[in-house]
Amino acid sequence: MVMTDPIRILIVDDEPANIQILHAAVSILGPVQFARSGEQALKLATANPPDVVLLDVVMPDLDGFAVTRALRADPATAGMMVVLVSGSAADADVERGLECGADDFIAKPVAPALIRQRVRLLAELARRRR
Amino acid sequence: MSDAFDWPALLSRVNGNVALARRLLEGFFAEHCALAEAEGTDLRNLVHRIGGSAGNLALIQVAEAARDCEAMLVREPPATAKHWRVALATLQERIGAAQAQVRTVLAALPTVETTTGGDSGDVLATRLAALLDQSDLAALSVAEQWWLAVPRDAHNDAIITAVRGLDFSGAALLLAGKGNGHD
Repeated sequence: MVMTDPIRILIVDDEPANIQILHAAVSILGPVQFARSGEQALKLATANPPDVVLLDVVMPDLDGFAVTRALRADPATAGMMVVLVSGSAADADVERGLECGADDFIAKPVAPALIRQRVRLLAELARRRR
Repeated sequence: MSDAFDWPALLSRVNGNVALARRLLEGFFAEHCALAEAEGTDLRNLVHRIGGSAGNLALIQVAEAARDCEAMLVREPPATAKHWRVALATLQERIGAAQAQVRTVLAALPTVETTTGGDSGDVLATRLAALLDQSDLAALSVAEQWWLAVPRDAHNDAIITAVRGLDFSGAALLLAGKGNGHD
């Protein structure tokens, strides 16, 4: 599949190193925004909606599960593709993430080619739905 | 290559950008050397962050030790203070060992010129081509930095022609797959 349209991506992680690693992996796909907290992520997602959100699970205050639920509850952000990115890929975590409304779940450490492919596929899926 | 640090894996994650890899590693060690000062909830968050970052930075043994610490948090019955001390000491020790290995790896990197030096377009194009011919991730990273730094004007046609169509990210991944001569 070849997609030429830029994909707008929002990376959410409280650890700057993880943001930069993800940025290096996906920045060739399109414009990338960053947030270092769940609260900041929700503001950015509303103000400048991305196609795909790459969302860390464990963060202080609002975690990835809570952010996913909040995105799904707001009609303005409900259609965004949400990928949870976590250091723990235990079945229970993946199940909880999908129950919260996430579209995909990726374990750290991230494999750049894999995450690019997932983002491309999800963005294409989102565009077909519209 | 020791199991403590997988340099080629990190390079492939940052598209061969040696400067970025170096910055991330230095930032990690600067931030996470004070493990003993954290406690309670702070410590749990810190251990989780260390595990996630260490995994992404290919600090394999640090990531494993952090995961072991995290596993203690959900274990029943709860870990004793003694077990915690042992786990944290192991994590601290592995951070120290990884830091030493990272220093060795970074010190062994080939020296590559990182400035364009104000050369003309033709000269720069030749130097860029020579860098790319080295099939080395460090050289590729410098070539990419030059490419991004060079203003796009009429005087740089030769440079633009030299690197037009080159997918630096893809090239970096290919090189990482072949090995880069540093390990």
